[in-house]
Parts: sequence; structure tokens; C-alpha cells
Amino acid sequence: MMKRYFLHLFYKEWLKTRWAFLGTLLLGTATILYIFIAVENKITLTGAKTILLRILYDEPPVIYYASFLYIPLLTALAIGIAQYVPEVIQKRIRLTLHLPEKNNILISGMAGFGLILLTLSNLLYIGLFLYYNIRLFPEELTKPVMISLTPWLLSSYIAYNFIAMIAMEPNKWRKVIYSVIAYYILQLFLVGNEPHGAFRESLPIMTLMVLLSSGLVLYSSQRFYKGEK
Amino acid sequence: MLTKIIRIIAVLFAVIAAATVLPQLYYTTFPPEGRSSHKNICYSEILGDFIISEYIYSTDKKQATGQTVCYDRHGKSYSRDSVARLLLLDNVSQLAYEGRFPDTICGIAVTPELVSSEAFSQYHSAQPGLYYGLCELRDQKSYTTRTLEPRDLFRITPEGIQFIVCATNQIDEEKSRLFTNCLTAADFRFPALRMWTSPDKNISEAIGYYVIDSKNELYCLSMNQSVPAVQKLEKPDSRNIRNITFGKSPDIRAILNTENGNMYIQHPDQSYTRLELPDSLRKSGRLTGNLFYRIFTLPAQNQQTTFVFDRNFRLVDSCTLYFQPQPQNTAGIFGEFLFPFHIGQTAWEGFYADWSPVKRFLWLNLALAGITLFYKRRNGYRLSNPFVITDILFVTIFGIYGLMGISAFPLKKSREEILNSQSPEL
Amino acid sequence: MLIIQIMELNYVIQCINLTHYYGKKLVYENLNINVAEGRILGLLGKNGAGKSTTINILNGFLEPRSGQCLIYGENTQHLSPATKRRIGYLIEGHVQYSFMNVRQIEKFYSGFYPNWKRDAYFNLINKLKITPHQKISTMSCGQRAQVALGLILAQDPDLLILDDFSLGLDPGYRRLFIDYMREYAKAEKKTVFLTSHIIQDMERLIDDILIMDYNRVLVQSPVRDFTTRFKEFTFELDRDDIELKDHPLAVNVEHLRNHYEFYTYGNENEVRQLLENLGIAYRNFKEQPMTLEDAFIGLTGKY
Repeated sequence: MMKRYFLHLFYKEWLKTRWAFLGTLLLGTATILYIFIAVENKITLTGAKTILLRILYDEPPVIYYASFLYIPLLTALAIGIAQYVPEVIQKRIRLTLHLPEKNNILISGMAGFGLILLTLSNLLYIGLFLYYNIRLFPEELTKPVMISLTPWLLSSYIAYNFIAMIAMEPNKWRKVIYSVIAYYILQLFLVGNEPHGAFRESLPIMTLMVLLSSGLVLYSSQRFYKGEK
Repeated sequence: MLTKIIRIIAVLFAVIAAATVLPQLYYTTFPPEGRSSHKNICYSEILGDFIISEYIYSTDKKQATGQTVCYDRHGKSYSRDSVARLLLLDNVSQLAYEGRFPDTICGIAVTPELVSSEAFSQYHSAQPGLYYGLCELRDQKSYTTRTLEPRDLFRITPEGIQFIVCATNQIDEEKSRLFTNCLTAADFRFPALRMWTSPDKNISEAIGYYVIDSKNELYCLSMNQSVPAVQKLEKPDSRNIRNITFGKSPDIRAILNTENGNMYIQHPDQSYTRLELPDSLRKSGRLTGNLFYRIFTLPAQNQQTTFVFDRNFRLVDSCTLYFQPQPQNTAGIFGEFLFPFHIGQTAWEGFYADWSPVKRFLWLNLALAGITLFYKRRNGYRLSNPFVITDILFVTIFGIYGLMGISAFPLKKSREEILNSQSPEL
Repeated sequence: MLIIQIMELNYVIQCINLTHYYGKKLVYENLNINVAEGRILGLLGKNGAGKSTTINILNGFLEPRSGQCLIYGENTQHLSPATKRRIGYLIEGHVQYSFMNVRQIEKFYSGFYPNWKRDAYFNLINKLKITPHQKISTMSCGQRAQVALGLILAQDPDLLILDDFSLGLDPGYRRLFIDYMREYAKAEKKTVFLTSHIIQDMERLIDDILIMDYNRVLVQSPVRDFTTRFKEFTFELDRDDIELKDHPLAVNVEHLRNHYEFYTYGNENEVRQLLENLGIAYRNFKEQPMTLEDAFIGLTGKY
């Protein structure tokens, strides 16, 4: 059962992240709307069947949702940076770690909030995307497209977990190393230019990587509050 | 303890990142393979034998030049000029331009136009390709009037066939019902497992779709002036079908691969001829045809087998070309020592790890593990610490990646190790 | 062991044989600090003496190379939530969640402390001339200090750790802070551990003093004891090249030309006797009254 003060912790995190979160949510929503406005325009110009056949069978594939590629990642960056960077730079993290709870639980609470916020944004994106996609296209296209979007959505969790780890790391050179590692791990997730439904076989390992990365913040946060360099 | 376990996960992430990017960077900077000769093979209707052309690179590595030599299976050499006269059907344009194209070939009166019209080439795969289950059924008479131009796509679900009007994304219930009833009447068992049609619009209109139902039976579905036409087809040797490619030549309606690995030609009269191809060969390759022959070229590891059939698909001849594996240069060999494996990802098979020969990278891995062990001991780490053992194991298995991983996330000494250490922790 | 344990029960803070290095640089070795319940201890030292290191170890933000630090009997590296609840912490510079306003920050903290005293907080906050939704980041240093003080009063901790509480405050706010803190600590029998560079303020506030120098503790005693026992004598000599520092009686000796300042735990007679035994002629021998700041500088020396 979640302790009552977690709500207060979440309240603080919400105050920190709300504008960054809402800003990127607006950007993401606008991007999705733009995608479908563009598709509807093309349908009006060229005909629905032609567009659908081109989307399904053209080579190279027509990835009409390509502009969504970096949206989940940007959302994660915005939430993660807003949540951790000022807190560490301005030393407010010491106030948080001084709260009457175990440090690991406090940090996990912070990270948990960020992940919940990220999940909410991803669900909103999925919901909005599905709403428009189902209106325009049959499920034979919608299902593979959702599979294609999944690595991009998963990339947001990897990005967030690495940002948390990087921000909490006390040694600046290690921050650089972690950033390089994060960059190349993210390359595995930010895949595109393949037919819809591609990378389905990669999803189990990607999901495992996301789950394993959720604890990374505890590694560097412990280095932080042990004063290790 | 939790932090130490998380550290192991972090090290693994570092290993994955390194294994993804380092080999790429290395092999882009130092390409691993040298040059080897290229071979090509054609069948001479004049000789009744194969002619092989080989482009051999100059031994001077600074020169990107070489020469082409032509020879038959018995080793007899031919000049480029004489080869053109032996491969008439493959050199129609050149010979016609030079005015050297003959009036007859093997006793048959020919013209360049006739020979060109008989030539075709297509690819056939033993495995089916990308499939979304949503297809366009064109009317056989759609060329006559635009009203017969379909504005829908269809799918075959457990409930029946559904035509989805693309403009509204709604089902055309009446048309769907009509076709469903027709399929049901033909004893079609929903849903469809797979559907194929020709990429050629005219053939697709004429034939329609080959459909496999849930009982693995084969049907042909087409539409003529909005009226459905469903025909149950015999399967070749009653075998379940894995993949179908429609032919580009009038004498080939379709090429079918069955689940037991056989390959069949379906003729326009819907009879089948099984191709005499070895079971061991994967039946994906190129089919080319000319006035006299149908030639299948099936590639395999470091070899390529060419089968020549007459127009009745009786095997005339076959020849296997063996390719020398491309020689490895120093960079390639060094790369196999340096990188135990390379992690990559493909669109349809997911992640993979491509391992180098163990006998090559193991030596470096063991050396690095030894250096790690020496470093740990020298800096006061105890072997009784299981995480020290884990670090050494990482380096032994993952080699340079493991070393980079444990360096990116150094193991924190325990308090006893710090106190007993010769020098304070840096 | 039993006797030590009984003694430990009276101490809120206990640092036992604390040793720390930054790399190869020794900060201090075998440092022992005890803070009894209900006392206000001030930690003084020059820059780089190890004050911040000690504060960080106390707060669990630094793991010492060896030794341990106990608060209410628990190792500071593994404080339980119940013990953390009993500790109020003021970070150097009055760092707070500056993105919040005064109401938001109260709402946030109140969830963590069951005995949160809302009135104590707002009594102080309402004295501030701020708008209800004014963010803490837009407040002056003094106003932020007042917010921090209000939060501490509302939390009502048993132990307060104040790291350089006077940093950036004008004399008015400093006096406000000191007066509130002393009155609160004495009335509620709170234990306070604090550092500051403004020794006059500490003099008004603290009961006990701990003076650190590089690698060691110079003084750990009640302030009154220290200021009573540690004395400064000034005199003039005929020469300005006489070295008196090495004498055991001398804690520190400063001189400008032939005017000498002699710092000692001895008395006037002992100092006069020393000079006479050394055959040194002196004049204008006086004992100088010292403030705590004078005593600190006398003890640790000018740069």
C-alpha cells in the first residue's frame, strides 16, 4: 500500500515537471494531429485506396508517421531534465534525501513519478494515434503501425532512466561516458525506414532492456549520497 | 547489494553499446575483406554447354583493374567476341546493333524482336514475403470502364470476406455478403491463411488471387464485372503450399513451393510439373527464360547452381559454380581477435550476435582477463569478493567490451578492502 | 563496553575515530565529537579545516574512510526514517525548493511529518512581506532564511543541523534567526549542531564550541570554559626577533614589530615568569579582553 507521503512527493515532482511535461505533450499532440491532417490531405488529393496501397506496399515504405519518431524521446528528455537537473545543480536533492524515508525509496519515488508521467503521455499519444488511425485505416494497417511505434515509445523509458542516472552521477567524466552509452543504446530503439510491423522480434529484448534500466538511477544516486567521486 | 547488482546491469548496457558501435566504426575505417574475382554463368544454345565469365582483379592492390576471361566447363577459353556468337539469345541487342544477328538459331527462324519478346527474368522466393492480409481485388474487366475500378480492399476473416471502402473505412456489406456466399459455396473454410497475386496489374486482373483457406486448401478468387468467381484448385502432389510467385511468361502461370521443399511450375491449364531440383538446395533464386530454355539460378553458401530446363521443364543440364571466400586482409583478421562478437538488429529477425571464431578472440580475452586480475589484486581487491570474480568473468567472455564496461562502472571496494589497501582509494 | 554504552545514551551526536581522505589528502584522522542532548554546539574552523566534510558525514552524504558517526545511536550512513524525522537540516545558503511558493512548500513538507505544526510556520511566514503565490526563488536571502526557519519550527525536530545559517543574511535577519533559534532550542530542549563564519552570531547562540584546524580538533568544550581559560596577553619587547611560539605555554604568538600578542591557557603570572626566565625585558604587559572571534583567531592564527 503506497504511503501517504508519496502523494506529497509526487506533488513536488509535479510542480517541477508540469510545464515541461505539458509543453512536450502539446508538441506531441500537435505532431500527431499534423500527421493525420497531412494524410487526410493526401487522401483528398490522390484517393484513399491509392494512399492505402502505397502505405502498405510501396518500396521504400511510406512511413507517414515518421515525424513522431522523436516525440516520446523528447517527452522523456523534458521530464527527466526538469525533474533532476535543477535539483542536483542547486543541491536541492539533499533536501529530498533528508526526508524521513530511506534514500533508495525516495529516489525510486522520484523516478516512479517520472515513469508514471511518461506512461501517461505515451498512453495519450497511443490513444490519439489509434483514434485517428482507426478512423482512416483498417486494422491490418493499424496493428503493424502500432508495432512500429512501440520501439519509439520504449525509447522514452530508456532515455528517462539514463537521464536520471546521468544527472545523479557526481563525477562529470562518468556523466559523459553514461551519455555515450545511452546514445548508442537509444540507436537500437530509434529505428525506422522499414515496412510497418518491422522489429516485432526485437520487442521482447527491448522491453527487457527497459525494465532493467529502471534501476540505474539507484546506482548513481548511491554514489551521490555516499560522496563518491 | 542492490547497487552492486544494478552495476552489473549497467556494465551489460555498456557491453551492448560497445558491441553495437565499435565493430561498425572499426570495419568502416578498416574494411575487412580483400578483393576476389566475380563469376557469371550463361548457357550457350549453340554449344549446348555452359560458358563461365570471370572478372579477375589485378594482383597489384593499388590498381582497381582486372580482366574478364571466358571459358567452358572443360576449361577451354573463349574470346569476348566468340562468346557473343555463342550466347546469341543473351546478346540480342548488341548483335542486332552490329548487324551480326543471325536469321536462324538452332534451325529456328528468329528475329531480334521475337527473341526479345520471349526473354523474361523474375525472382522467386521459397519463403513468403511481407503480408498484411489486405489486398486489392481488381475486376477482370476494369480496363473497359472506370465504374468497374474497385474503390475497396478486401480481407478474409473468420467471419468471411470483407470489402472495406477505403474512402469511409467501412465495410461494403452487400459486396462482402455476395463474395462470402460464393466462397462458402465453394467449400472455402474461413479465414484465409495467405493470399498471393501477381505484381503485374494485367496478370493480377486476369487471374485474381490464389488463396489458402484455414484447411490449407488452394483457391483462385477473381471478379468479373463485379461477379465473384471462385475456383478450388488442386495442390501439387496434394502438398501444403508455402509460397507462390506468379509467372511473367505465358507458359508459367505460377511457381509454387510446398512445405516439404519441392518446387512446382503451374501451367496455364493448371497442371503441375515438379522441377527436378536437389532437396538440399533452398529454392529461392532467379528464373530467367528465353526462346529455348527456362533457367533457374539458385544461390547457396559460396556457390551457385544453375539448372537449365527446356520449355517442357525437363532438366537439360546443371552446373555449380564455386566461389572462393573473399580473402581476409590483416584488418579483418585483427578485427576477429579484437571483437568477440558484434550485436546487430534486423527488421524481421530482431537482435543477433555475430560471433568471431572462438580460437581467435579467446586469446585476447584471456589476456585481458589476466590484466584485470593483476590490476584488481594490485589495487587491493579481494578474490573472495564475488563481484570481483564477476568482473573477471565479464572480461573473459566479452573481451574488450567487458573491459570497457567494468571500466565505465568501476567496482567500489568494500570497507575492508579500502582499509587494507596499500594506497588510499583514488 | 557497558559504561561506554551508558555514556552514549546521553549523546545525540557521536563521531568516533572519524578519518577521511579526499584522494590522498588527509582531511582529519581519528576525530571524536560528542554532542549532548539539549546543547547547542558550534563548529568553527578555517576554510578547508573539514567543517563541510563533517556536516556531510553527519547528514549521510559522505562515507568516512574509517570510523563512524552516530545520531541517536544510529550510523548516519543508514539512518532509519524515524530518526530522520527527528532531524531538521538547513543547507548552506538556505537552499529550498525555490520553484514552490510558501503555501506549496508547507503543503509538501506537512505530509512527511505527522507532528507538523502548521501554525508555527505561518506565524513566521505571515510576518514576511510577500504575495501568497510568490515563489521562493524570487525572495531575498533573508526571506528565504525565514521560510527555512519556519519550516524547521513546524517540523519540530529534536536535532537541528544548521550549515552556515548566517550566509548571505543581513544583520537584522541574522539577529532574528539567532533569537528565534536560541529561544526555541532552550524552551523545547532541542539539540543544535551548527556552523557559521560569523562568530559574533555564534557567540550569542551556542553553548559548546568545537574548533577544528587542519587534521585535528583544537578545542571541544563549553564556550564559557574556553573563553575563561584562553587568554591573550599583549606586551612590548625591545627586540622583534624573539621566538616564543615553541614554548609549551604558548598556544599562539603573533607580533608586529616589537608589539607581541601572546595566546595561552596559562595565567598572567605564568606568562610573566616565562619572560623573566628567558631574560626578556618587557613593558606594557596587559591582559586583553577577547570576544569569541578574537579567541578563535588567536587560537588558529591569522593567515
